[in-house]
Amino acid sequence: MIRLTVCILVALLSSGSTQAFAASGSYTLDPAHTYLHFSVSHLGFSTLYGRFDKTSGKFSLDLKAKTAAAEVKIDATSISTGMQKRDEHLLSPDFFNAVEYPVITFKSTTVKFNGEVPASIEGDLTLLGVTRPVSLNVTAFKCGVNPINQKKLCGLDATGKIKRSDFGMKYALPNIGDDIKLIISAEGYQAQEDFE
Amino acid sequence: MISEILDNPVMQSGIVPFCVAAITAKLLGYFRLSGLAVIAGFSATVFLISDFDFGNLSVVKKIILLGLVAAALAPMLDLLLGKEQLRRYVIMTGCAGVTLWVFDAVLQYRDINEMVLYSFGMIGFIVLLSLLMDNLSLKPIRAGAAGMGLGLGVGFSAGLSSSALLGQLGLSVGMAACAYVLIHLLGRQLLPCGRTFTLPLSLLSGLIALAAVMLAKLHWFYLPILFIIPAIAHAPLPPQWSLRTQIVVLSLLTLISGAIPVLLILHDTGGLQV
Repeated sequence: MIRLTVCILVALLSSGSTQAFAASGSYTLDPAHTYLHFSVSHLGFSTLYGRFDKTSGKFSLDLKAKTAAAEVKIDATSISTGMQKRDEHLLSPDFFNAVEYPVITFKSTTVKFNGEVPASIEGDLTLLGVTRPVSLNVTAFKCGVNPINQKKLCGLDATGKIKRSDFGMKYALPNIGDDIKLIISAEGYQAQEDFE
Repeated sequence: MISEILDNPVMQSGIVPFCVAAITAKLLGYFRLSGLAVIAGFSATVFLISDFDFGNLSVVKKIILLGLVAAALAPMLDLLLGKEQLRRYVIMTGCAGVTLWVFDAVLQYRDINEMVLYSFGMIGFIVLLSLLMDNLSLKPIRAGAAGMGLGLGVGFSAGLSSSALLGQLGLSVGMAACAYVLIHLLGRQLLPCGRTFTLPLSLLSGLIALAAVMLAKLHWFYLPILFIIPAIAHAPLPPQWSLRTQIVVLSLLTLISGAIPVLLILHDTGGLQV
């Protein structure tokens, strides 16, 4: 009976090791699990959702010291709203002007913590060549070992809001909404050198 | 209520530039500056759908800026440069230079072969278009008809190629020229034209068309079709025809020419989706 209890405890502890390991070091974003979603009002009738499919970047994290920093690059040409013709229009100079400004970047300036968990990320978003401060609220955060590949992984969900007109994206205002909601899901694997 | 009306694209790139150009052409006719009608109409559209903030100079902002500068510099060409041949050289060199300046940020993403090919192609297009329009600078009816066909042709073509913004800007040029032509039709007298009309018109139309190729989805092979418009505006007409008949015939010829690329694009694509 005692052996069984010990086994169960060990199993519970190992499976629940979300932030049990020292989640510090540098991480490389996993493009397969990192997406920037956005939503915008379509003529006031409904909300259009879209996302960018190609992202790259890195972040560093030290939960005990409560410090973190992130740099993300988003391929503007990877926009997807579920309709090719609309995507082509969004890539045109009317909106993202992706030929002239193919990359959207985000660089954090401050990360605020709530206990050992990041609560908000403030940083500079550069879109259409214009850089503006943006604040993201972290709605979920978890560090642990990916049970599939046994690699150390941190992930988060975050939300934010921007006004597209702040970045010079003024076409079709106010019919196509000015307020853009950002929904970010991101995961990053700890860099190999941090294991050594 | 007014803002709702002004948010309508038909108002922004049709009615407003038409009215502003008509008023400008009529009022400035007394100062022999009716040619400024085009840039006045175009500016009205820019005011409604974009802005005059030139802090972050994108391709579109550079085109808007150049339209304004061209309209301001055009009278200087006649005043400061004595020989017509010299004026032509200045226009050719200037058009070549500004074309490279407008698209430098886009060209640098291309490899060297493409960069050279695009540069020569774009310069050739703008220079030839500007010279064809410049030949009409002393012929108000022909210049007006060519401007109408060119602006509307470029506007609809750009709009169908994924950029409503470029489309609206092009259409505003066409509608401004349309107002200029209509004043001739109703007034039965010639308004001053000059390079204040033809230079910004050719630069704006040409650069908007190029921007639709480089930044949107317009295929380059539609561009040479646009040469037909100013070329056909040179068509000889029987001298005994009345002013009104000449205006109607020239307008029909240029509008039909302008419709050619639009119909071809409409056939190839299916329009724009927001």
